[in-house]
Amino acid sequence: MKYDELLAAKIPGEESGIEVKTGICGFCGGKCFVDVYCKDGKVVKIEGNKTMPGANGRICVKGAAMKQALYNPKRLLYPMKRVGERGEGKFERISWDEAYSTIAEKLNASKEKYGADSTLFYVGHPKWFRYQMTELANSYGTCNMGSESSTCAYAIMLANQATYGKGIRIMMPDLRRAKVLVAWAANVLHTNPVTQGSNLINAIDRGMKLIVVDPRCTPTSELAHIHLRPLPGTDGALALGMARVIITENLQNQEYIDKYTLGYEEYKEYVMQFTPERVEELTGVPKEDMIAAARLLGENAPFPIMTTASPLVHNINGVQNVRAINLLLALTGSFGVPGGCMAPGPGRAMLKDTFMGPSKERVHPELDLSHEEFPAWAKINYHEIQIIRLADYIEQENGIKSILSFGMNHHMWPRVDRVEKAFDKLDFFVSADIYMTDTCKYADIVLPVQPSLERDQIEMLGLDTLYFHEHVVEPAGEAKSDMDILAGIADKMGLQIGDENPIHSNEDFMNKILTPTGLTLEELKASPNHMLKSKHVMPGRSSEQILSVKTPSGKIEFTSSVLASCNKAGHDALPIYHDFREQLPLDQYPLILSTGSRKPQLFHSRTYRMSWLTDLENYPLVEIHPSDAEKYGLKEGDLVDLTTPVGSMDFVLCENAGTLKGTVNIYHGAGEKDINYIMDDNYLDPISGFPGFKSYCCRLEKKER
Amino acid sequence: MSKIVCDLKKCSGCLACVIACIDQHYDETAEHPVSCRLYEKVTAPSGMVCYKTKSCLHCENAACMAACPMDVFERSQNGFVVAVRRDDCVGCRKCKAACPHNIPLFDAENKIVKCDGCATRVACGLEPACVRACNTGCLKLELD
Repeated sequence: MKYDELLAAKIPGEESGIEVKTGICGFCGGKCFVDVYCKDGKVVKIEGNKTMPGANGRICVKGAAMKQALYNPKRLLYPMKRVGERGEGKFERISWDEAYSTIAEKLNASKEKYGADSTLFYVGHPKWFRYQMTELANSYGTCNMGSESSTCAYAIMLANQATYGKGIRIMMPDLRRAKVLVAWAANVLHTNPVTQGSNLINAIDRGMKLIVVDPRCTPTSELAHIHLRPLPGTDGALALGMARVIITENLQNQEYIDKYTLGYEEYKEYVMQFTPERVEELTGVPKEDMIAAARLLGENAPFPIMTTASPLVHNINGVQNVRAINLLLALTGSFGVPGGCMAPGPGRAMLKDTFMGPSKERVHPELDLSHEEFPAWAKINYHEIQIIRLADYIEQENGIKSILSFGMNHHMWPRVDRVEKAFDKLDFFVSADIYMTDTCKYADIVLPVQPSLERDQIEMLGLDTLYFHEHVVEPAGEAKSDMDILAGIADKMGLQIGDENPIHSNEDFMNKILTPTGLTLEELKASPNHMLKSKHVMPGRSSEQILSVKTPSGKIEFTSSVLASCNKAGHDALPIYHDFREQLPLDQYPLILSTGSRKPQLFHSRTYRMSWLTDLENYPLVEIHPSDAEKYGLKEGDLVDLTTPVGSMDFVLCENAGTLKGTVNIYHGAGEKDINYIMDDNYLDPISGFPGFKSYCCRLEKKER
Repeated sequence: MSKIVCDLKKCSGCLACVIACIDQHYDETAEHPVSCRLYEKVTAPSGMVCYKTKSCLHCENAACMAACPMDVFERSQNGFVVAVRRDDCVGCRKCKAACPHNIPLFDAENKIVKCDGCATRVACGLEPACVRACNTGCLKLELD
């Protein structure tokens, strides 16, 4: 075949000069392996990898657009200092040395003048160096260290730990052995089709039954044997209703309950209030369907429940709703057993001081700015501040004066405008990021960060294989690894990352995290395919070990001791259902506004800078059921004013029969059209501080173009 | 004849094939490229609204080939209908009118954009880009 033909079709080989390298996508948290076709050091094509352990050759729509992410004109290429107004986006190139020197000088001066706690250390996306960021914050002396997880995964982790004890994060379903699975607010066929989506399809192909709980109709709910569609935010009532069915039909696992749990009698008494009729009234789910689902679960226990990081906890009763949901596992003996959640399994290797390992504790956490308002958070998520009130913390006396942030996106918080106004009051603001984001525009210094394909990293594959991921392409401009930047700042300021062995570079970091495996970075780099088995593997855990839960009582807690100890804050020990509608002016704003669900091509604001992905549809869209459109005199393509109690914005209307009647569904993260500008920043779950993104209220009116 | 078939029952509308096609045929500076995989919104009986994709089936008696006045198309050795003389396309759209599935597309310069089955890739033992990307296994290559 001719050279031109081979090149045009991007056929790898010596003739075309196209080389295929293995890389980790890094676009979302999925860490999918990709085959990166490179020609003269530049990526020309990408596809899913088939040869790495666990890889299946597939790629999602976001990963397939990688070239537009990697070579995006918005990439930060050099350190820069702000020369215009905050938010204006005018910057001037500086050297790394000047950047580090300025940061050191300003942060030291701020500490001198206002105390170390006046500086916020923050990690958004990527997340992998969070442990070392805490070490840096500790070394500097501030307790105000936070992350994006305080609006993402930490509330569900709080709920799970309040029930099942320390060490539990998001419940892992045993998909390989389950007879029936509940996918509760999870549309994995669109959010993570490569791994979770294909695992789900495989499980269904082998005969597993699927119950999907989701207000919307999705490709995942299309696979369900039973699809329950509660009004967003009423999931707690639905779970309590299912528990009542299980108990009244004597399908609970009494032996398990007696042996491993606390507070069952009180729970049972409370649950009895949730009759099928009342649950139907609260949730909108036909009682026959709810009963059928509860029976299917009770009769096929143990079963797992698949949840994801945030949809269930973006509600003002989110923590208790999740407790109610995951207590179905305790009720039926489905936690810590094969075929349930957190099932026993073989041992695995360990890395040291990584994001997925145990969290690093902070210095004087009791002084952090969120400590008093969120006492349950302070007890369970003690390693980080709940930073939802960032705007207030900057505005208040003795609050935040300076910010050192990596991957911060202030669009993730409600009332984006309030955060932007608050940024104006900062003394000093550093933003390290892959792109010139809206947040960077408010910073004094911006620092360019390497995305996954430009970075050397260590990954654990499967249970016990260590892998050295060598950067696939050279970094754009002067972009550095987050770890090298952290180390650069630490060294310039005379601070320390790492305990007995300080980290001065990404290489140091990789060497350090490998220590529990008995491997060195050098031998891993020298090994074939950069892969070696760990020399040490932790022993596997039995059901008995998993069921020795780390709650204050040592039992799985229907009545949470931690929440009970926060009685001054009014937290309930039982998973009490409070209906969000009681707090909303629904007479003026009759539609329930739900934001933040995903389309395959959307991932927060990240994908909005890639024209291949934004071209797929018109944005931003606001979806309602056709019957609601008719009711309000609206139709597909209309420009509509969407008004909430705190503001109004216009959007293009999209009729979607898969949207639950009475609700408005809107995708988030669309820059100036970000719905978070008009989400109330005081509409929070009092336990977690999480905003009620999935169940707020609005009205729609036609706007003349 | 070779073709790429789509089992619509299995398609989840994830759109990976659409962008994989673009990634195969364009570089990132192409701001608004045209994917050979077409997608359209479909409402399922449940109410679920999702995209379903389709593309050229490389028909045995390809109507587009017969209809083209400029002789743009040629059948590749491995059985795909390829617009090999694309530069000669005058954008008359006779191929589109003749196509029973209304498949051919036209770019900003009014030149035909049509699936070539990734004929060169297939000839080299690789799968077409869309099939390689597919997340549910609904896309399959059927070789002549």
